[in-house]
Amino acid sequence: MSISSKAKNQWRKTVTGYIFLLPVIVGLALFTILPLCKSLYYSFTEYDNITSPVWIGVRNFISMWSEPFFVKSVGNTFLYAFVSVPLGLFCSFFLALALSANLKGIKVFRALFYLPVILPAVASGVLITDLFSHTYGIYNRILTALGMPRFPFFAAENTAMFSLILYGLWGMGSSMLIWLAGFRSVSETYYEVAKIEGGGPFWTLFHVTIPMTTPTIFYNLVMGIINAMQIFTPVYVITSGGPNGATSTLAYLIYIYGLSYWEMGLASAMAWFLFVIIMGMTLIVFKTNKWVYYEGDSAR
Amino acid sequence: MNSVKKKKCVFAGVLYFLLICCAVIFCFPIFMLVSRSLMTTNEATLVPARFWPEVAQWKNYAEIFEAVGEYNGTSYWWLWFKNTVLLELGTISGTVLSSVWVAYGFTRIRFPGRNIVFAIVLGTMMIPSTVTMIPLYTIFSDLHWLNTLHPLIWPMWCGGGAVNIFLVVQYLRTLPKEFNESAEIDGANDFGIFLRIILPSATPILVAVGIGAFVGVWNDLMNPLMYLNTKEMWTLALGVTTLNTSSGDIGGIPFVFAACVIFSLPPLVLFTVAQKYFIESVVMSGLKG
Repeated sequence: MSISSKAKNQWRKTVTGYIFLLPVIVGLALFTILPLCKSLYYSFTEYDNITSPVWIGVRNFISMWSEPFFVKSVGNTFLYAFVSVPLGLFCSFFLALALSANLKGIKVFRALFYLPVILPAVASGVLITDLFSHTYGIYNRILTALGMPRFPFFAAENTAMFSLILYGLWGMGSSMLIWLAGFRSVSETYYEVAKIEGGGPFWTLFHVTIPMTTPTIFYNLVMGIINAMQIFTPVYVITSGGPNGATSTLAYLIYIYGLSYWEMGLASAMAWFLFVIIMGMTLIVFKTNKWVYYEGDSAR
Repeated sequence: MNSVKKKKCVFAGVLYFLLICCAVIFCFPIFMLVSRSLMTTNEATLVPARFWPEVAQWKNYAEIFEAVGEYNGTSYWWLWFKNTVLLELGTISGTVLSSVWVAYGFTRIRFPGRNIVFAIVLGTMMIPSTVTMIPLYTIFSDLHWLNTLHPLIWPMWCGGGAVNIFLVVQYLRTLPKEFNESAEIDGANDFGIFLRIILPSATPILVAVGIGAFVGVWNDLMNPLMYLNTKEMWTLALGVTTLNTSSGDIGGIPFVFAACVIFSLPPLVLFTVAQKYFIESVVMSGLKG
């Protein structure tokens, strides 16, 4: 094959390649990069969606701190992410461990624990609001029947966030499934070696299962943090951020300021604040991933 | 030997007991969802609350269909259902077709710039949707797309999101390279190989991606909330949510819950039928974070 025909062939390959990538490149430009730039620009302006944006410098980034509920929402967002993600990982790990046992009917149990995840958030939010009701809620009936005082759940400031975290744990079926997949990827030979070496179930857990599933821990942690920092739907459906901002999160506040109060500049500034925090946290996780063990990882 | 067997039996017994207890706790709210959908309006607000209605009011399920009112002679339920179906069709076809199309470019053709684009795509997974939310709203507003299904459908035709592209790419990597080589010798070009070889071979992962897209759209609240303003343009998710929050159309918890039960059925049924594919996609995505 001559050089020029080889070059021609490569040229053809490149053009074909970009034809295949065209949708994603258009999508990235139009629905990710352009909005990202616009959002950054808006964050330095005052913009109400009617008159054109007015440049005001960094004022939004300063004034947002004195908005009612902003500081509280930042605190709530961190509280939710840092309590619900580790707690969810911890609980779902043991659930998955139990569900990886070779027992009859274990598949039925897996499906049962996954059920709350498939239940649309809209329906489950409405449902939990009702079941947690201070007066006619079924859980308060159970509590009073057990001789305990009524628990206010979403109705009181100091218990609302706890209730939101509890509700989040109800959906641990999704991380359970990822754990199960991770366990299955651990090669049988490791367990056989552990058996020959005389390792008991706990030894095997700490020396084989946990180290071999670190990629899963890593994945669950990163995705868990990113998702938890953006929690919106349950807040919108269940509490509307109340009572008195006790469950208000950054994502909820951004939505309210942007598309309800039409303070799009201020909302964009808050969004970039959240973005920077999420990037920072993700970077920290990636930088400290020395403890992650990839088995024969060369695929990427 | 006997004692080992005994130990195993005790272990299994304890495990079953714990699992049953946990399963009861997990599924109890869903039981209550059904139970409270069958109560009368008064019964649902009784203190102390009841676990099961005195007489199951199956007629609640018939009445909710008449209770939301009409728009130009058509029930809102029908309009919301129609919008949701249209949205599902547009989104699922877009996600499935464009994700495998793009994934073919990322895995089967070698050309400069490919890996950079792929890295950028993966990087977008880190961008919170709240950052792009407001500018996307203004962009779609400039396009006069507000209060239409366009803002919800067309972005999905651009690869269907980073996660789906990643899933399909991972799957296509497991298909043998010889597919391409032998087909090229036979004189087929990339478009032919894509249509005749890769598209059929990728069916399992595409089913999983399609199911994920279906459930995602079915449950999505934020996007319809942003872009669909007037009631006749809403989706079912939005309609069901507002049954509870608006003072308006349906009186009482039982009716809202009956609507929730019906609304939850499609994803539940789909999951039960296609459990295998669901788990497959998790296995694919979970291993190489």
